[in-house]
Amino acid sequence: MHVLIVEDEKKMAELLKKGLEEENHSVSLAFDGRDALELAQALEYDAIVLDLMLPGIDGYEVARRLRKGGNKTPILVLTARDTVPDVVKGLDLGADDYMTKPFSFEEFLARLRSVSRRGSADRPTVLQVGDLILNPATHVVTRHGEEISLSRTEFRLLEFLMRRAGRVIPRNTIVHSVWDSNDDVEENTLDAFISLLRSKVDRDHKVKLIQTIRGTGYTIREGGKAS
Amino acid sequence: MTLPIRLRLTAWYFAILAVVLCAFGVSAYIEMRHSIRKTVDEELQIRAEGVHQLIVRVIQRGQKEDLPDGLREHTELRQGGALLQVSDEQGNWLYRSTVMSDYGVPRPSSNTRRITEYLGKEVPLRIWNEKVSVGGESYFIQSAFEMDDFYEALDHFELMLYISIPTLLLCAAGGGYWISTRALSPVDQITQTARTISAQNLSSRLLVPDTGDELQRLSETLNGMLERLEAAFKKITQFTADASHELRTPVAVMRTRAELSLRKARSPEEYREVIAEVLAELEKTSALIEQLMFLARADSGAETLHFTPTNVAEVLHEACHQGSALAEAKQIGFKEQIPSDSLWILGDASSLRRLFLILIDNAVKYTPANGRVEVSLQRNDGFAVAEVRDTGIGIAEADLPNVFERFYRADKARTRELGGVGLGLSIGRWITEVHAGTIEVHSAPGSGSIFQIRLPISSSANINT
Repeated sequence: MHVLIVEDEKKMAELLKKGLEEENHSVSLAFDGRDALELAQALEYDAIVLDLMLPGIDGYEVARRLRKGGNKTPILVLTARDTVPDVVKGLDLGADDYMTKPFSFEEFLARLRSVSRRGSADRPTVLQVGDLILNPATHVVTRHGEEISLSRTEFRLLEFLMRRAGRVIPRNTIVHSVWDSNDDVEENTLDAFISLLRSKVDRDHKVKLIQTIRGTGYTIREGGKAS
Repeated sequence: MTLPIRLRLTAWYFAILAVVLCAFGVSAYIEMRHSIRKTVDEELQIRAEGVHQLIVRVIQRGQKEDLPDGLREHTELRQGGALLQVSDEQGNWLYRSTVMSDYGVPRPSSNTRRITEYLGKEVPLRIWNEKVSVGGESYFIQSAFEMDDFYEALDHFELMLYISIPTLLLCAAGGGYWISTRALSPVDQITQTARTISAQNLSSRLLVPDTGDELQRLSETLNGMLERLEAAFKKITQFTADASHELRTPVAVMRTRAELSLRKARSPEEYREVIAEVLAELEKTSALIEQLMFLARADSGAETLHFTPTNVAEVLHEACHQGSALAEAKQIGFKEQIPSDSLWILGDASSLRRLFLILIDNAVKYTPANGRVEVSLQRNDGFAVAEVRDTGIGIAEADLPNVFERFYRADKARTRELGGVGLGLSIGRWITEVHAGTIEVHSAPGSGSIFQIRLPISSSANINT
């Protein structure tokens, strides 16, 4: 999934990014509240990891403004502040979960997954479109019961689309969300990967789930065109 | 044994009132008696004068032998005449009323006073004795007044005083006790309220009555004290919160780094790197813990320094030795201007060295490459003055008053990068103050900083070796 990490301590931020990328998530970093708000409002994230002690606008204020502006991205607060008033304030301002440092990385991953489920109306632990099932925890993808093997990037791309199943996502958004800013992404990289995905996911099936919306972007949804 | 305040107040009140009432009673009684006697005396004098005039008239008419009759007539006609006796030089009674002879009032002698008191048959008599000279002869006029009624009334008055004064005193004492209870009850209220104030609700305050008196001042003073306590408490709580945050942060980094490293197989170089980074983080955390322990001991008074005659020049020189190495590593010019002769003060050498190192370390930390750090020492007016100057990034005016506060960092991000937490200067200040010295900073952004420490040279430590 696409995660925004808001943490002013560079070492910790880099560590979290590295750890999440090893789990095949794509990560953006923000070192202060202002950057966090800009990024969260510009791009689509599946979850936001939010530190509370930030320079300038603090974590509480970031959460408050996001929620006030209608942003429903799930927020996991990760902070050294552990008193009951801190926790209550964080949760009441819009955070979905709260973890204190030092923390167990495994637990962090699990809570991140849990929190990202809260974005959708019904909350299964797996993503499903038609008979295509993606399990974010195990990274196993199956269609009609048969397992599909995907590369890391293909997996990320598919997960991103499936989390927004039914919605049309603009090309730019997809590119910025799935790929790291450091990666070399050319004009047709996205198209190439969509092609790859289609060959693995849709080719052997009647119902084509992945769809191109000309001029805008891509989407994945049930009731796709039968070919 | 000290009595409770209400009893003391009542006792004082009782004593004063007792003195006052007794004085009143005594003087009222005396005044009463004096007044009665004066009135009686005046009356007696008038009567005596009347008799005198009679004698003069009779003698002038040449009817001396008629004097007794004349006197008898006079007395029987006049009121109060029944108490009169007149005698001549030879001791003969010219007139003596029956009542007077009943009483047996004696003739006056040569040295009888004008007014005498005589107890005749248990009746107190007040007697006016007057010697008059008429026609060459002397006559003694004695006019008396029965004082029994008056004296009875006076006794009655005395008794009344004996009864009423103690009664009044007791009532007043009771009233006084009640008044002092009422006066002190606001104090009791303050006590009750103050009792409920504890660490949990230090922000509560006493009600201040608008009376302009001692109670208002007491309430205001206590509230002021609570204000200071709350502020100090907040400072401590803040320090604890900051300390725990500063410790948690590196520990979290170390934990996450180690956990991540173990999640997959890594290359030996990667493992080495991780271990090296964890070690570096541990060293910083250890230094931080040491700083926190120092401050905790300093706060609780457990940090005992050993004050002995110390050569500041030497200690500063040692600190510079370490400092110059730091500066060189960062390519900063380091200059030492310490006089070769000793400068003795009463101090703790190791903490002084630490103090100087803190300043030199800061100077090096916040000065970019190709900058300069200068350390100097001089004797000035009974003080050892040490200065650490740098050409570093400087401190903004808004931050200047706060730099010595615990955990204060003017530029959070940069300080953290440089491995600082904001405790160095607060430790430095504590050390300076414990040596009865002062520490000052002059700085401006972009033009570097000057830290100046003044330590008093105690005369007893002026040992020339």
